[in-house]
Amino acid sequence: MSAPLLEVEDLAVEFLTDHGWVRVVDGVSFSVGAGETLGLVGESGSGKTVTSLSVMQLIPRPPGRIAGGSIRFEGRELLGLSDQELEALRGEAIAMVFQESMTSLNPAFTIGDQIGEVVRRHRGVSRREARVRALEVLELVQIPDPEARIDAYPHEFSGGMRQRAAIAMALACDPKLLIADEPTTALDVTVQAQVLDLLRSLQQRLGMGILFVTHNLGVVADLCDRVTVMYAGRMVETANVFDLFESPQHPYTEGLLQAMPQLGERGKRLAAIPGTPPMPWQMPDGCRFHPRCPYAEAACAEQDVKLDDLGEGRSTRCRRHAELKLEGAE
Amino acid sequence: MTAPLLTVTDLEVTFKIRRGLLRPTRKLRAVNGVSFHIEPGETLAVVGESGSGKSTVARAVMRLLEPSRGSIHLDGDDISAMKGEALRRIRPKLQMVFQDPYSSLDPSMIIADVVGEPLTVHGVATGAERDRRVQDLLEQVGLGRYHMNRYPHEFSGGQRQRIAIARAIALEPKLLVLDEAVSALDVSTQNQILNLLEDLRRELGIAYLFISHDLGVVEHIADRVAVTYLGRIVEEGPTERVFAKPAHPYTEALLSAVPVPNPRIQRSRQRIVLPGDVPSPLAPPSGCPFHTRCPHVMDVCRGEMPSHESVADGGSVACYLGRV
Repeated sequence: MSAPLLEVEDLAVEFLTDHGWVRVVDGVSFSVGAGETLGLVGESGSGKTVTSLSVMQLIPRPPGRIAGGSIRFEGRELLGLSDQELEALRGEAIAMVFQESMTSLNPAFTIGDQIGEVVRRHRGVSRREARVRALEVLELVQIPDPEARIDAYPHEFSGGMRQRAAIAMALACDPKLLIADEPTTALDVTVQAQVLDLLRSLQQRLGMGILFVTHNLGVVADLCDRVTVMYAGRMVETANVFDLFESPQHPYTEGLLQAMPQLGERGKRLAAIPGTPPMPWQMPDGCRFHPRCPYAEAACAEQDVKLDDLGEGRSTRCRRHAELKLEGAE
Repeated sequence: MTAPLLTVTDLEVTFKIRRGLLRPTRKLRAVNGVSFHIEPGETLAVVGESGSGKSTVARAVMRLLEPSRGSIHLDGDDISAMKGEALRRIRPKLQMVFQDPYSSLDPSMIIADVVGEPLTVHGVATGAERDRRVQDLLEQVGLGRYHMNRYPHEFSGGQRQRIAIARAIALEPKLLVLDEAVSALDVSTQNQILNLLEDLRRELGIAYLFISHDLGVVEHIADRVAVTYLGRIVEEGPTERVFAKPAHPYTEALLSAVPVPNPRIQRSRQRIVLPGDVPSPLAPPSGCPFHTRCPHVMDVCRGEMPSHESVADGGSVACYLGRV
């Protein structure tokens, strides 16, 4: 087997706050293969977005800093590359799509010019060739009537069309890896369904790897091959998508699954994880989930819990996983 | 049978849009011919995507907007044209919780004042009596007296939404309008708030007008559902019937677009992916507003908006399918 496209190992990210340097991502490791979609799942504050931004070293520095670990793309270490070397990778081999397409597109330039600029910058082609490529990718993401739309401004597009245009821009240089951070969260469900279908078919045609950051387990069930669940800056479980939903190995994953309202019975109380996640400067000792965990014992609060390799690409950070019978989605 | 608590009949809300200083104003009809009712203690969910007019319905019912046509009866009184003192007098019966708990609470007020303000304004309680009531309200929503002297920024999103709810129920309203009230929260927090709303409904008998785009949440909390598209209700009925046997092609497509959090089911089920986007409410299609995206469109759909007719197992639908 060839090396994975992206390998993140023992990543640590810190931010300078009123409480000093605070570690918001701690010991995160995962990989994304070509043609594979890895879901990075968690609630707000879990560190999933900081993790995804760190891959392209887009966290604001200061106040942020990557405090340790390794990020390898096709075997090449990205940490320590110069800004110039990173610039060459961004938008070329590795592209990103964000939640707010209105903020990632420049309101003062037409859609065609913005896509064209990416192509000219990385490929050094003429304006005319760049425009041809822009038209191609707009067609690829199924923008209706692309010849007419290429000269439109972002505000003339609907939310769904803007997200398609942002995806088109990301695909303009045939990236090998697409990092998508909540790309469908701001969209209506019928448009979300269109965009998920689009990403799936593009991946099949282009074979790119996707790192998909989301809080929505329905979207994960629809699109992802493997899933890493994050809680309070740490990964708590990694598994293939079917195993994760069928037999979660971490109580937090179970809690998230049981909290999906679709799975609750009408009229019955919804399962809720009690309490709230800890602040990054007040991380509890031991397992970070123990204050909210229904299965916690005294030892969970005392000893640090290591990630346990369960084989076949599964791992969990729960010292009781072998004795617990956790419930999956039915 | 008792009279409904809220009856909305043929509601229309229009906005004037000016797209430039010298250009003529245009009329945007955000809500068009909308009728529904809510029984005491009942939860009606109004669902729809952006531009469906669901939030405008909420604001019209709250009389934050003036309807251009139709009537809104609350507890027997027509409030659609009420103004000033008359409107102020019915306010205690009718309260609202907004989506964003970060902007809906005054950051300069301590929690005791945030929650106690309605009591003062409506002359219900002052001084120590007011503080006692505030303490009860905070306990009712799962907070404590020690929270009374803190400011909103000291609370998490879920806690702020609890505070907003405590304020909204301070005057013992009969109807609470919840506009995307749990949409900004993480799932685990969201469920805590939904459970709280269920408890309050049981204890206080409040009716809810629950505005939401999240069908998973709606399926759980609502007794009845009204599905909106481009300012119209296209289907309405008991939650179980609408989710199990949707009668309108839009409802069917909407339900099929919500991903099921189970990869085996999600990847094997039949999905309807609608083409295109919702048309602009500035230039709505003729006839049935859904005809431009409907997989079952017929000639008749382009002519007149179909009327609402009743559906077996409850509710009504505005669709020509099976009629012509």
